[in-house]
Amino acid sequence: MTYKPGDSVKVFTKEETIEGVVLPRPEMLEGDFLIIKLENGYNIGVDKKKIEKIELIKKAIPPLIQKKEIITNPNLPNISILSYGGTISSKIDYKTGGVYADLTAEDFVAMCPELEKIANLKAKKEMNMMSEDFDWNVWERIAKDVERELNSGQDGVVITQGTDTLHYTTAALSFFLRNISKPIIVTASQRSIDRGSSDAFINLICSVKAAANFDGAGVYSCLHGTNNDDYCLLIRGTKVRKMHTSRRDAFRPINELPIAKVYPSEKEIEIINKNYVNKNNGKVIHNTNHEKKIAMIYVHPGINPKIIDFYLENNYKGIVIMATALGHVPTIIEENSFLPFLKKCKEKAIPVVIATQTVYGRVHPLVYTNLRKLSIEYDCIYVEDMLPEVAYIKLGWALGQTQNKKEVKELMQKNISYEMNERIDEENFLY
Amino acid sequence: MTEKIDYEKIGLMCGIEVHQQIDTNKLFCSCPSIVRDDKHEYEVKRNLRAVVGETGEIDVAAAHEQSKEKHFLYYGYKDSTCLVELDEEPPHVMNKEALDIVLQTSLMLNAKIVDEIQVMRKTVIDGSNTTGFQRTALVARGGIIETKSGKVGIPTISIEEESCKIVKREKEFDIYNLSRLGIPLIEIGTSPDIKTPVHAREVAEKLGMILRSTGKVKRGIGTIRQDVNISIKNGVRVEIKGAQDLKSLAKLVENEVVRQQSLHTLSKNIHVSKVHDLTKMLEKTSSKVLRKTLDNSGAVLGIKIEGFSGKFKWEICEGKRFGTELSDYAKAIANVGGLFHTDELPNYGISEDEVESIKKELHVKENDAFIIIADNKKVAEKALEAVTFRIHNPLIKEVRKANEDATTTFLRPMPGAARMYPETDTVPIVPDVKHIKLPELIEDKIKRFEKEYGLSSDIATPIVKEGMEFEAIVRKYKKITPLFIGNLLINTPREIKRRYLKDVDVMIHIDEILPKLENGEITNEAVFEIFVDIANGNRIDYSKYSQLNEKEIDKEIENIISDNKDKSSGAIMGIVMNKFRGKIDGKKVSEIVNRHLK
Repeated sequence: MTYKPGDSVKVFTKEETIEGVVLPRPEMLEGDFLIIKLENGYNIGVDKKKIEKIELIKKAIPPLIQKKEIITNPNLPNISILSYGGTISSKIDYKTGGVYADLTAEDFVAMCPELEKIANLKAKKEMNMMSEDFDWNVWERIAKDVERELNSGQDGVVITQGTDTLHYTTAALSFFLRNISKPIIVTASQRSIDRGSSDAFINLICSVKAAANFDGAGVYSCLHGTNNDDYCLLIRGTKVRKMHTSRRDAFRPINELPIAKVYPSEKEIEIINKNYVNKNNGKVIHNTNHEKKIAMIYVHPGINPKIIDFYLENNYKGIVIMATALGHVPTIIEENSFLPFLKKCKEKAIPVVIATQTVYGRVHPLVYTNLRKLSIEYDCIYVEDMLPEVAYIKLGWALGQTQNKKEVKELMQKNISYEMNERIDEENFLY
Repeated sequence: MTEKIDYEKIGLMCGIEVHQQIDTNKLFCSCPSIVRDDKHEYEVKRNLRAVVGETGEIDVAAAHEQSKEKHFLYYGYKDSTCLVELDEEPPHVMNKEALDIVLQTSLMLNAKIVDEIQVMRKTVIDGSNTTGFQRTALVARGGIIETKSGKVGIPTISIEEESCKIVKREKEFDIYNLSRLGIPLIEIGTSPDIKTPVHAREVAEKLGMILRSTGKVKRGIGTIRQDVNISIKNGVRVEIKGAQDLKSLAKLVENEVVRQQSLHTLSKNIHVSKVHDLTKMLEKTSSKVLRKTLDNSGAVLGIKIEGFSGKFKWEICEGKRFGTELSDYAKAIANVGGLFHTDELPNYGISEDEVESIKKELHVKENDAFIIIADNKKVAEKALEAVTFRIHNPLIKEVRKANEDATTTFLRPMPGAARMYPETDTVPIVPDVKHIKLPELIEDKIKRFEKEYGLSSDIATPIVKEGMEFEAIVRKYKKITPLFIGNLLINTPREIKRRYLKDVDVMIHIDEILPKLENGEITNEAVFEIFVDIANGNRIDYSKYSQLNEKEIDKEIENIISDNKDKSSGAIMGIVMNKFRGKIDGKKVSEIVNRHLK
């Protein structure tokens, strides 16, 4: 007989009869079991080999979701929420295994009724992709979506996506969008929204609040500031990094203070770092020209530098090296030495950018002989305290602006979107 | 108590759920299962929201919790809570040792183990789980136990994580202790086959005995809890949570039956007035409780209940008055501090004049009653609406909490089916029972000890129940009789306690003392004397008890006899024993004395 997930059935095995609803089973799991939801709510797996007969009792009825209508309040700012996937925006129908949410403004308000009091929401599900699969095309798409929203008169934009590569998105938007005049807030959640403890609710409330009320323009992340459900941190898009696999306060500002604390309550946004451009009425323009063939190499003791040959042979146009500490790569032992390969890059005019794998701190082109060798003799580009992921995005963008290596170098070493700090304060470490 | 009520006639349906902590590390992380009550080392503040469940609806119980709009403070400890308890790290693989104990118990209960175990999330947003759900998995179905009153079905055996322990409930937030969260629990649910309150206790005891037979469950207060499901023909289904004391379990069931029978008699047509605002009228009150509310711009609201005079004092079951029942409900629904009613006023600084003017304002006549609540106006309104609802619907399907005096208190509405959805952070488990051996049941073991070692039930029972390593000791010291060992384990400490009011732990010293007994260095009697020394905190001086050689004793005894010619043999025996206590076997003394007296 045929049955589909969601159908009520009676399963007969030699030993017993089991009544319940058929559920889908993830395909990658071993073994062949039929998942049944019993009347008491529990799911169990029944070995298919033991099943003698399955009787259909009732066909599945798709869930009927009623949506509440939203009333526009002319006194509130207009904010767009654009969704691109991740746990913050996936709702699974456990009966069929399908994703059913279409993430309209009504859905967000149903999830967080507080949002209605902060802004008039416009929401659109743009895409549903896990953030580890994001690439240059996705970033380009997001930049254009944001430009469209802001230039159609919205007061701010909230982007939701998966957490894993969120800091690449904020970096990409920071370069792909020029003349940003409004807050562009990127948020996500570490706990899925189908659990009562999800960080999504406060992240969303604070993000919409930041998009609506923050007086600055630019790209910022907005997620939990601590592991309490207290407030979110507004962190500059070029200075943010995911620093923990699973904690809700995983996103931290690196080498500078967060811009502000945003509270989910009535409490006003608390500015911590005033170094930002004020909100204005300028028109946002996109400049999404970029080069995709950028490599990122993580230096480690015993590394085989021949990997660079692979990139050169495959026509890569730029390399970011996550060097050790101040910007070192192996140079002495022949089989590990980067020097012959860096020479090749120089000859081919392939820009090599040096950022640090310590994440915190600044690289320095001069303090040691080897650093001088790299920066002067091999023309490697040292990018101060720029995060390696930001350097990766920026190099792709810079190569989209010019193919001239000298100009690329100049662009890389010029502050475009607050990606480098001239000063690093004592309190900027491990915030 | 069973004589008063014919439980069959009133259609009692009763089943219990036993929750027992398993003595392993936690279920989904590697923290040790240590419950701490001392000062916490850190705290975390969280909110929980009712989320749309699997069926697309918000669970009523979950919605009830959220309507209270509380936040939660969690007290953490560095040794027994990690990021998993904090809901900051996904669960680790399920603890296999704990699962094995559940599988073992399932086999002991003749249940059928499921082919593939699926971990579920059961929505719980009262804050007792940081995640907003409890991880639980059905392990076996269709078990059965035999009892004196017939077979009782065991439809479900699950493994689940223990919740946080409540520390304190405040108006704005609840404080929970994180250390208990995640301890593995086995949950055994019975069918509604329980016939009487006494039978409920028997079933709980039997399940407890079976669980303890595994030797791997936690012991002590709070490590085992019973939930009871009860309904009667004219009543409703009620789930009572957290009965910890087996002794009062029968009383708890009886009380609930009586509560339902009483409330069933309540008239269906009670007229309750709409809510009146008495704030203005009482603005000059000198009652401290009312003042506190009024000074914080709160309100005093009241309702009249017709013909309800004296009803608040009505004892709906032993130890529970209807007034308390209503106030419990108002507290739970609206989070108010409490209510005042006619049967207790004037009191609390509310004067007789004020009571009179309230009566006048509400048009309360002689047989009528009133209730007033002082709080924030919206909250008080909500509370009075709840009270009104409860008067009109005294029996509703609900979850109640077991109190120490065997009464119960409203906790929340009965959760619906929207409660469970799959835990997506774990993979299903195909259970392997090949390696699992069934332990000997405690009751069987007691019988065997009696038979095999000749122990009395008085000694065999505590040895088995407390899991003493009796058989290991018997095997180790083959020359010492099991009877002596049994006596030593049970009677020696009892006797020392009786005589000297001191506690002594026999097990700690056993491997020091028994080898000496086996070698003949000391006598059976000396063992007791040595433990007396230990109990009194004296140093053990074995030389005191070293056996004298027989010739010396022979001589000494001869002397004693000749010095006491006029005394009876019993008296002489006494004098001799006093002198040689512990230094020579009593049997031997009596042998020598008898020889000389002849």
